[in-house]
Amino acid sequence: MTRSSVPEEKESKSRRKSTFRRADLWLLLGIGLFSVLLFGFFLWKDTRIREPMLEITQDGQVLGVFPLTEDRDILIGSRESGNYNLCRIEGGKVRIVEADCPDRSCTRSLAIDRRGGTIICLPHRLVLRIKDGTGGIPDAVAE
Amino acid sequence: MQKKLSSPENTARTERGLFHTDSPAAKIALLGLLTALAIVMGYVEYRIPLPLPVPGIKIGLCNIVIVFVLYRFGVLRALLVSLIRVAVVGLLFGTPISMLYAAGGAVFSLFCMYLLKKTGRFSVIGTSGAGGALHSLGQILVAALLMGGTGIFRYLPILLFAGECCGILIGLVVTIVLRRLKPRRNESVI
Repeated sequence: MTRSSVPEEKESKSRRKSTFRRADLWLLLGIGLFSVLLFGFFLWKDTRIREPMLEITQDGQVLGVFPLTEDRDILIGSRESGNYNLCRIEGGKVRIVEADCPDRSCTRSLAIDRRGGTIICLPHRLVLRIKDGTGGIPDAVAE
Repeated sequence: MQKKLSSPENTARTERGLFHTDSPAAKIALLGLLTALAIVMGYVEYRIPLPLPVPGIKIGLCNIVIVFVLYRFGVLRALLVSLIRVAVVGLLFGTPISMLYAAGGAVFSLFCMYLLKKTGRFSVIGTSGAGGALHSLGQILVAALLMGGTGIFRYLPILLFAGECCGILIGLVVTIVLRRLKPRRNESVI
């Protein structure tokens, strides 16, 4: 493995390798711009929601669709067997109030409301998102 | 021992320091040391979770080690260190699922950093910054596969940006480390 001798060494003799180059600037600006544009795209998409509904998905399967106008608690999974998340709709805002996942980042997530957004629990493969309910999707009940 | 050290060859080797050795035992010891360092950094991060409303944002301190190994010892050794780190940290503090996310992000970002490094156009900072962003992308792709949904892509812009910023910081640190541990003339490293 002597082949993988340090390239810096050879290069530093011939031409000084600068710490930050123009190509870096373009690369990093490009990625930054891409993420800003993508963020803008999602914001724009959220403004088009007319009738906001909460969609709960676990393992890629839709468990239920709920209106934001009605306050209620939705228990996903069961407390006895573990792997549960307790989701609360209150005053048009949705958040996860209780969960037994290891990282609990879902309970720290910002509440989502009619302006759109997503709450994710990676360990339980759970996705809560606000979608436009004008398509006439029936209100499934997960209780 | 006394005899060996006094021979000119070995004096030269001790002067070079551990990071520029030819001895296979020292290579193994060094890579083991670096792997341990990466694991400890993972532990430090695990103890200090950032109180952010978005899951999955970390500084990725252990990537200082990974990027350093990539630049000093090549991509295969970086991959080895990275995979051992993911396995050990996952077994100690994580779940099988968190291990999968970590491995997806680590392998994806390492592969892309290797390609970027190979082009020779980018410095350590550029490579590491892009690598940080691609780490997020790799993790999100794994998550999307596991969760079977596209809902998670909403987090992509934030995670890309955060990953890029952390990657730039790590690139700065690695630039300094590489400069400090620079081999002298006519020296080969592992």
